[in-house]
Amino acid sequence: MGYLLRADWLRIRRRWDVWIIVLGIPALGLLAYVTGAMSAGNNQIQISGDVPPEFQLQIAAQAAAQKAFQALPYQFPRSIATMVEGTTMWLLLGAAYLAASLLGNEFSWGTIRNVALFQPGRLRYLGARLTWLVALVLVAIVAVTALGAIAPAIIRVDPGDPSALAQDPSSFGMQFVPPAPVTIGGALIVVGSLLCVALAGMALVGLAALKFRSAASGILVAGIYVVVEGIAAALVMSRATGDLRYLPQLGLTMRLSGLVQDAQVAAGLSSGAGNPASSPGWVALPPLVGAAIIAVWLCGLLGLWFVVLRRADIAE
Amino acid sequence: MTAAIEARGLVRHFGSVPAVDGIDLYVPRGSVYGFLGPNGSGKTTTIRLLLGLLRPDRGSISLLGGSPHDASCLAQVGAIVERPAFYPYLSAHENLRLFATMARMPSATGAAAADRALGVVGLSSVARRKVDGFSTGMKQRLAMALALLRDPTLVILDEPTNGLDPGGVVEVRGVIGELARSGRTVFLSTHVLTEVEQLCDRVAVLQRGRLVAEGLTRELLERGQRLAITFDTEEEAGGAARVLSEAGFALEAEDEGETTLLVGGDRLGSSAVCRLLAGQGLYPAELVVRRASLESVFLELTEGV
Repeated sequence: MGYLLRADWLRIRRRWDVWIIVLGIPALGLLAYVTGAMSAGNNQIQISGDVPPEFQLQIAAQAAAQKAFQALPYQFPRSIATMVEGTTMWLLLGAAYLAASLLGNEFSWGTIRNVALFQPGRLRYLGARLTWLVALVLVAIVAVTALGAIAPAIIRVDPGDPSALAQDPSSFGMQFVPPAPVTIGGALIVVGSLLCVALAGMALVGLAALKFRSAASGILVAGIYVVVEGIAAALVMSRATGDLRYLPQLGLTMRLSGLVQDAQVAAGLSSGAGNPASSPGWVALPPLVGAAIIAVWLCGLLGLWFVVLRRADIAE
Repeated sequence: MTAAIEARGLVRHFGSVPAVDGIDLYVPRGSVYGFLGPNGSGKTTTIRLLLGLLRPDRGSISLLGGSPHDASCLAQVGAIVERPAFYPYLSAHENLRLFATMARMPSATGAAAADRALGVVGLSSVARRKVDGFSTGMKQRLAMALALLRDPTLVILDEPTNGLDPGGVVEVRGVIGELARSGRTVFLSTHVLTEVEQLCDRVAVLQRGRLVAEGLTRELLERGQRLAITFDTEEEAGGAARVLSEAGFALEAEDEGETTLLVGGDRLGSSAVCRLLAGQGLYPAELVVRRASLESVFLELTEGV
């Protein structure tokens, strides 16, 4: 398959849109990180009029706690998760675009016909294309992760007085989640969830692009699927009882959204409030079962890529 | 030796519409085979079936003795199918190199093959220009270069002169003639009947997915030729008409006056006609063989179906 990978390289190296996505996503992530870091801990608490001394102390403690809390996401290794969280949507859209463009445009331009004549082993050709897609997504994710790891060394955010975090935030009416220590392993769990999201988006849009033979149609059809699944899941979750309550969790979109939240909880970044698990009718699944469901989806979608192309008439 | 192309009972439907309906083809190696038919007759669908781009509902196909889904078999085939298709953001040379790489050619060999193919079609001077800026004619030439990239034994060309200016048409015809002279098999689908007349030694005519004629181009043209016999008087012409009819010759209506008879059909032969008429004391004033053009034969075959 090496010659097919080489052939794809000749094609991909001249695709400026591909490189804008692969290099642009880490750049966007870095931009979001830098602006976040620059504004972290800059909160000013305005006091007007005479304030009793004990209340001034409380305000000072609150300001110190806020500053320490807002600086946390920019400390290593939590900075990795911060960078990753800032790029999740971009990476999902980027992976979807790459799949739609690199697969669908072959049909729009009619070049799939030349490909079929020069490489009648369609599955091998698709295998090479899949390898490149995964590689491009990995390059973007690795770049985002690396930036997240080195960013604290370059962009320093003053953590203030870390002991301020130990105060009970409820004593001055704050809603801060008590910060849990984030390990490198925890940060990598978040990176893994991002990889799952990107690959699933790529697989879904890629299948639609292959089936409907155009990049635009691929994105449109996949988008419609996501919306329809969301609506159907919400309906089932609000009405279903018994085993049917598990059904929405089997959907790709719902499961991915659950996975991202689960990863953040596992990494200690979130308490889980506001995630799908808090929706009415949601029944929690063990994380391993959730990951297995995503794996089944990925295998199914990618398997269908090969079935669709193998059986396709090349009428372009 | 196996045929270059052999297809038996080829059937392909699109929905309930039969695009190709039971075609048998036998293209001998080394021949230049013309494939004619009006728009929508199934020519391009047949070519797609032959190249393995479409799967037939029924029937079998053999290309150079192998299957069109076999890489080693397709490696000996070059093809232009309908409109040219290239990566617009790559140059002409990069497009060819890419497909050379896909065909497992080593890098240097692929680059040399691309240079050679571009030279054959006269695109060397624009080899490094992006295809996006190419005219229709230049893209058509590039498609020809792609077809020749692997130095194929069998070349299947679907409307290869589409979009070319007169100079380009002459050049491409020259390339096809060169391919034929070098012993390659050329399967040429075209609307340009003069092209077929000039280049092809065999021809098949397709109408509504079915072959309505197939054979040597010379024989097909002979099918359309007529013998025009002119007499000095209408009485002589009337007498000759009776004699020829009784002898089984097919007389056709003509509009050039009542002193001229047109004899068609397979039993043409001016010497036999002369002998028959002379035996009855009838001597034509003029006897001319009117050769048919492929255009008239084509129209006769396709309009009658």
